[in-house]
Amino acid sequence: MLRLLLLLPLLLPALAAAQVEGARREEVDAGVHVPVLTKAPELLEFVQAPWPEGAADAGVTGAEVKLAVTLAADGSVAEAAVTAPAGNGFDEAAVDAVKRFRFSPAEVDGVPAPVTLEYVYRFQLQVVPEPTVSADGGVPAPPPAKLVGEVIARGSRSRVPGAVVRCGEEPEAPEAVTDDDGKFQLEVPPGPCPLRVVAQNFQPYSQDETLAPGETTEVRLYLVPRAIGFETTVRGKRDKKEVVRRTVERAELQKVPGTFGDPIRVVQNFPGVARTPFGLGQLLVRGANPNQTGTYMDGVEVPLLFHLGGGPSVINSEFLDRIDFFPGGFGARYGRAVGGIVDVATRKGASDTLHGVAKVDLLDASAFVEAPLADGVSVAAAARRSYVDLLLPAFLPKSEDGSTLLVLPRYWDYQVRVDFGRSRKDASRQGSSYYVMAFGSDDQLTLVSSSPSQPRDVTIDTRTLFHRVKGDWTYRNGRFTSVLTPFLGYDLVKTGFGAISFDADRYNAGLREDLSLEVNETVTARAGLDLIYEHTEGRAKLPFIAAAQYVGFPGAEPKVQFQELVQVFNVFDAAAYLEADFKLGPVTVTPGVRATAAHVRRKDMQSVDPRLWVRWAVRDGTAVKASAGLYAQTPDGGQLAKPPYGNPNLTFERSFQSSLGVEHKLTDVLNVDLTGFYNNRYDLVTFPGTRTVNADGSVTQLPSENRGLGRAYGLELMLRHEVTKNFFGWLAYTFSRSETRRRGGPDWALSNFDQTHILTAVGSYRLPLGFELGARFRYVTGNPRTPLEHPWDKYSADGNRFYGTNGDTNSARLPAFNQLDIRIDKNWLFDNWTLDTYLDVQNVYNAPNTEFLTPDYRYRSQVPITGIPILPVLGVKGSF
Amino acid sequence: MRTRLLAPLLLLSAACSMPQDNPTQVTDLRVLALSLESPELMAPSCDTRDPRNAFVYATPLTLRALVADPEGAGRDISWELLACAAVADRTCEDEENRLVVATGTMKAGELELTQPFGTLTLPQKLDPAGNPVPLLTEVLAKDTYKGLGGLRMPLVLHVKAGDEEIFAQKLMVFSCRFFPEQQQNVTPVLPGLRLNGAPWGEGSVPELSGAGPFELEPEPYAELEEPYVVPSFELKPVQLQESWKFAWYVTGGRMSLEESGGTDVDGTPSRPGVQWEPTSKPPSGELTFYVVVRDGRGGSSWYVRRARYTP
Repeated sequence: MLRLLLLLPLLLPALAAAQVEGARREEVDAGVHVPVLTKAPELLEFVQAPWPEGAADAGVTGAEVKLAVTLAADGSVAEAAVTAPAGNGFDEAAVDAVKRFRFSPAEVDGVPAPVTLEYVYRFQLQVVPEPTVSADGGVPAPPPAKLVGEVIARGSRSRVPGAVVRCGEEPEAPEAVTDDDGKFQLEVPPGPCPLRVVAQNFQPYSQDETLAPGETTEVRLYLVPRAIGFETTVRGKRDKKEVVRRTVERAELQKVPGTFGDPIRVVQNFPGVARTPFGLGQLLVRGANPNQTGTYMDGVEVPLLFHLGGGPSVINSEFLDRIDFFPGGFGARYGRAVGGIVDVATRKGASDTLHGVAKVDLLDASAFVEAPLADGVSVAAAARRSYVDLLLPAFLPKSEDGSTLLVLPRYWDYQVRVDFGRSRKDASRQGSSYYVMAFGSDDQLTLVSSSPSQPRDVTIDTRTLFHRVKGDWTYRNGRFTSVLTPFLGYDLVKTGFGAISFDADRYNAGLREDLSLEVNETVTARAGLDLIYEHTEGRAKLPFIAAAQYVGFPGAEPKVQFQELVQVFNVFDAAAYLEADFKLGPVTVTPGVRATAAHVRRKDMQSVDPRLWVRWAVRDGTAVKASAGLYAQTPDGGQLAKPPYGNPNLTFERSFQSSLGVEHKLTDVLNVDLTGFYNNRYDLVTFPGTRTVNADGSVTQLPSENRGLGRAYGLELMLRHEVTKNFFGWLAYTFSRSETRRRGGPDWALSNFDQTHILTAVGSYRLPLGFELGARFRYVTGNPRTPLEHPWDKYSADGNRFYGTNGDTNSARLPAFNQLDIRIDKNWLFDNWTLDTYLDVQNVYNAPNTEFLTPDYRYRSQVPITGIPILPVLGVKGSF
Repeated sequence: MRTRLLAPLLLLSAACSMPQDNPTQVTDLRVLALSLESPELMAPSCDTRDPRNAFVYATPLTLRALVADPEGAGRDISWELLACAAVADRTCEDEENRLVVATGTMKAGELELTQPFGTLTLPQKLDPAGNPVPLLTEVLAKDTYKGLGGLRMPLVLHVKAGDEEIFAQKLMVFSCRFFPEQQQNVTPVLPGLRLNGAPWGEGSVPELSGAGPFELEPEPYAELEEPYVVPSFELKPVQLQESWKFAWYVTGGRMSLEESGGTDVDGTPSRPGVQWEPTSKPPSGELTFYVVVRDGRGGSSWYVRRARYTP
């Protein structure tokens, strides 16, 4: 007899994943209102779909229909749309059945709310044997067998909760659902047991067991994930008031070609970010200098994001949850920047079992582990150490004339995060949760150069180190959220160059308090404090500096009297902010203000920066947005030293930022965003400052002044395919112009990194057999350059050097840049771990891109210095 | 990181392979050096009303130029000597504040001209009394330090031959005794040169052959490097000591360094000697070697030596 059996699709794993993601959101989005799924919907009423007649006639025995199911706030199915059809009448049958499902209401931030789920309706036609009757008919049944075990995600050791384990395929076959630890227990009749396991996002699993009467059999079942690599989870959409906030999720962070798996470099592929020469790690955002873009880790400002200024990021990529990048118009929560903001969010450690990742490439090795310590307590830790200093000497050119060139970069970093305060089974998201995190980084670079063809031997030692310890207390009560983030830190900068030495210790402490209250359906208010205190002790041994301390002579290299300098100073920078969303039908208006009072050395400075954002949801999936506001950046305390080392009159750098854009959701996974911007920066710190001859004949030479002006305007286009199981990618295009000038100086000229067209296309596709193929293509207008003219030679007989005759500043350009990078990953999935090898090849077709031009010694002509040639890098990563 | 580490190496390799002229190879028209005797005139007082100052500044000075033109085959080189007010005006193009001191024609070699440069005036620029304005007055007006550390008057030798044209600037230093211990600079003169460890006198033409290396170095000169004092921006004395630098040129092959000597900013002295390299296309016949010494405060002199080379 033929009997229809519908295997119940499973929601529970997806919802559990949603809860985990929600937990991460809560902790990393301190102060920014982010909806959190606080109660997952449960399927209360399942409706069995009829087997389509046409399918039976066609001889089909099974099918899967994937649907996007939108639940109304009361748990009813508001909409069911087929996203992966099966045909043969299955789609219509599945939609008809699903629309009659009934769920318990989902709750977002503790309030019933509509959500969208992915749902797979699986049809399978089964032949059910007729029941057999024993011959004697009266013999008592043998004692049942017991089957216990756990269901594990193959390759990661993750336990799979919510998996349905059945012994047999009949509807009445005994079944169990795995608990949060992936464990199950079944009592079944002894004899053959065809084990069948189904779980959301995993391939169906089957295994035959023979169970003895009265005995317990233990099994461990490994399910193969449907997608290795890219994750798909149900997550609440984050409210976005800013005109542009680009968010990169974990799956994208590690797989973008040309970034070598360095997650923060991914930001360089977004609109509004200019290309840096030689692939350096600086962020040139909408015409701003690299130091005008703030870099944060979980809301705490960090002194650097990259090792050695442009190397790998100082945080292990496994530790990242996501990166938020604001090219401008960022919220009042952020300050101390007149360019953009990069906020790196870390994630909490796993709460199911021990996991880890080890990664090795040519330059460094890193390890990451995460595990639960107790119920509600989890830890994650990572460390990295370079060994390129050991390998590099083998690759540096050997010289037969006794020349020596040693470049010895050494770096390490670490991150530890302990989360506690919330039981694993507590899905309410209410009350308090805590975490403590410590992270740091150390960069050391030694350069030794000696050769008969150079006038002197050179030895340079530099070191940059920082440590941070931060706490986080998140408290939720209904619609009120408070996130308190205190931190302590220590920075060290050390440089040695012959008899010259410079070192500075900086001790810092800070506190953030971010409050959010959803007053009603119309008004959400946010407020907070952002306090930083820095104590710096600097020591230097330097020669007297020509042109800064005395009048030098061209070409002179005298033996100079040395001086010892000691600088001790404090900086206190306090900011308070307030902003509120007013939802007026389809329009959300968000006025905000950030007030800053800074005491830098002995100078007090204040700034009040109003900001405004408007968002108009024209229709579902389409929004128009605009912003305008003022931004201020506090100068570093070291810059306010007395002349000649600083300028005590320096004040805030400032900018006015505005933007207007539209975003449109083309499909469920494809959206487009077009934004125009105009930024006006002023009071920028420029070097050198003015020189004043005083009445007594002494000279005051300021090294810097607030005389810089900058303006940038343009259009940014982002066409983005969200992360799905098989693909992610985006097309980013920027059309812009960036100009600078000095107040009182010449007219506007193009800034050094003005790039009219910046086109970046990124895509990564998951292939069969564990392969992934990614590519990145870039086309960028060449940087401006000042043309060299040569009517005659100009020679300084005192300095023994020539001078060029230049045309108008930045009135010409280098050739356009184009480059293709490719990345190939291969994953091997073992029972308890996964091995990933990757080959990341930069500049696949070896384009000779000119990075700059260098003149001959008489400035008669120039030759190009080209960028990085084809560069393959192989890496190996194991995870469990 | 990978790119960060590779970038300096790539730059180094690029710098090593740039198909450019080597500055030590003298082939076409070059002004290799300019010197003034004396390189500095120091007034006894910084009081501008002190009449002794004008007397000192009126001292005649001798400008010497070392001009090479190996490929010119003895052609005529026209020249003019310009004087102007602004140090940054490397071609004396500001016609309002310049004057032509002298003009003429020369062959490659040395040019010598004696003038009281401190008394030059600008005939096109008259003071309220109708007198030409002294050039030194305009030098002071253009000086952003207003005379601190001395006035530097640009003297520009403009030479032209064929389609080659060079503006070579030399700064004449007019200073005053701000601190009692200050002494007027004197021209640095090397005690001599050594080639492969042996003295290399003016008249000798040593025979060289083979691949080398051929070591050139100055005779010991450390005792000749003068200590001196300059006023800081805060008008306090800054103690300095000359650290001579040597520029090396040759008409065939090339030098291992364009410049030797001097002291790095970190206080490390540099090697004074260099090597002459015949290069892959070795020259043959008589070669001319030039070494120019500079004391870093305006004083300079040179030696010209000849050697015969067979590969």
